[in-house]
Amino acid sequence: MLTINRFRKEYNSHVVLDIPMLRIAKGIHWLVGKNGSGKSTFFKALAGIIPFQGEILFESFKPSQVACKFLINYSEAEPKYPDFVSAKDILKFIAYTKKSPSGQLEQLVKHFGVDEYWENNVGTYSSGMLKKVSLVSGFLGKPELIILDEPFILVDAVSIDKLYEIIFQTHAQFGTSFFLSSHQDLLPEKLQIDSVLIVDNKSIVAK
Amino acid sequence: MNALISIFQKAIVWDYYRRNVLFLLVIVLFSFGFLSGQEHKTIVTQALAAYKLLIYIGLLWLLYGFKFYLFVLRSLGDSKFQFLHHIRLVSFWKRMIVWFYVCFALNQLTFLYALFMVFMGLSLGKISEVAFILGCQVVIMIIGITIFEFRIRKTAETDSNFSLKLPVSFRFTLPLFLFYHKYLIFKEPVLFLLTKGFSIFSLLFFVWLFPTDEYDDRLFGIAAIIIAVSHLKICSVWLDFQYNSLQFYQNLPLTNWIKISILFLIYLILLIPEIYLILIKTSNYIGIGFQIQWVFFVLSLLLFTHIYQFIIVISEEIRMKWYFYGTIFLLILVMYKTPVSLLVSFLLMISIFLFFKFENKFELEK
Repeated sequence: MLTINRFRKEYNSHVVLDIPMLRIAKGIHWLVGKNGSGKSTFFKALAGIIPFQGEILFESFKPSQVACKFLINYSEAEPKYPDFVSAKDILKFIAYTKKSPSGQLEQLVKHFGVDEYWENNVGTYSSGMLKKVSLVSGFLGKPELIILDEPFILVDAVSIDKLYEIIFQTHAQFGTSFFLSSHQDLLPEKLQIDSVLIVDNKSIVAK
Repeated sequence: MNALISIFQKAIVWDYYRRNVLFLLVIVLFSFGFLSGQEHKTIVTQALAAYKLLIYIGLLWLLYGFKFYLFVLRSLGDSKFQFLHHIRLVSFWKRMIVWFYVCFALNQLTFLYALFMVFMGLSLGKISEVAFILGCQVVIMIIGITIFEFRIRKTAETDSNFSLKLPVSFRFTLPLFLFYHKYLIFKEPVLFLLTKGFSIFSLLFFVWLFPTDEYDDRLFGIAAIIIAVSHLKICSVWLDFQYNSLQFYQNLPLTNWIKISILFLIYLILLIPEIYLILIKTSNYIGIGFQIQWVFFVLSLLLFTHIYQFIIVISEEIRMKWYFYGTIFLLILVMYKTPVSLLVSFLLMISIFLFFKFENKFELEK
């Protein structure tokens, strides 16, 4: 599914990640690493948000290609949206560009309880409410890979259960792969993980 | 006390200059690139001889004061800087010293020029005018100190931005190409009003000048370049806005052509007042063909200014130098009657080329 070749990312001449070669198969993968180890950087590079050196190929597409952006969705760890627009404005635009099937957005906002507040401006949301907006955006369209960066932080216990449920359903129904990063242990009775990837020492290796 | 000043210097003063480096560079380049030292001396001498001109200069300084007052207010309201509210725990006079330091450090752009005017005034024996200049600077600082002190006495989370609450029935889904205009109106009102005010008055100046001047329609070419340069800060703030609030935008499956079209639409909406002015006020002097070419000229200049920032292979300083020399070169081309349509085609082509080459490789520095 994913081939990484001589991937390198640095900030101000400081190397954050340097991965000579890595192949990752389809499935649900859990990325584990210390704070600052480069998990979010890797996710953002994969989602086509930040530039990098080297090569990432997802199903033979580069992350910067438009076709790849239909296939990979990204939900940020600490989402930031303009605080003077509503979540409805933002999510409707994302749904439109990702060619989300009719009714999908309404189902998702209802599932996460975002419909209760999505007409208000983002500036009025708590960090948990904002996080749920980001989680909804991660499932829009027909992605083949959904990247959820720290999906279990900031949200309440009920929402965590709902998140486990929708990850399980989406994977079972559409075969969608997932990259999850979390500092908490994932609950094996709620979600079967296919592999654990360790992000350490500026590289990523399978455990 | 040193620790207190140091933290305010790092959190507010340095942040202000870091964020406004482009604005300050353009002001300095245009003030000292276009006007020689002798011309500055002449302006100051004229101002010292006429109180009316001195008052205008004072108001201009106050306007700049409002720029940094609002910046500090926004910083104090930002959750990142909530720790600064601990300053309430120190004595009133220590706070006054900190606020004075912040105001003084942020007001350097006008203060240094005021100092130059003071020396000129003293050498010419204009004591009351010198007192007026110093008085203006003191008033600007006192206003700042008062505003910051009132702000710090409120809770950290008090919102310093105004907002307009519309009834539910009036709300509509805001399209993405209007996000930035709303951002400018609600988050950067001073920048927005200053830019539009300057741009519109520049155009009006050329419109009023037009029938009597020998430079014919080249004047409007110069006006277009001035309008584009006055929007430079708005173009650079878009990058902050996009990379800090719209990170998801880069994950959306939008082709480069769609992204360029969105940019084009954003700037077209932003230029509505100028377009209205050129279409209505100049219809007696210039034909519709030139008017349309002029609109595209301004748009292509803005598009180029925006996309030019994506060039990552050169440093910020060199980029600004090239921009300055490029602007002068463009002015010369306009003066030598280069057809506007040719300039539009060149600017659009180079903008599209740069966008395709650099947009995906650009990242705001951490």
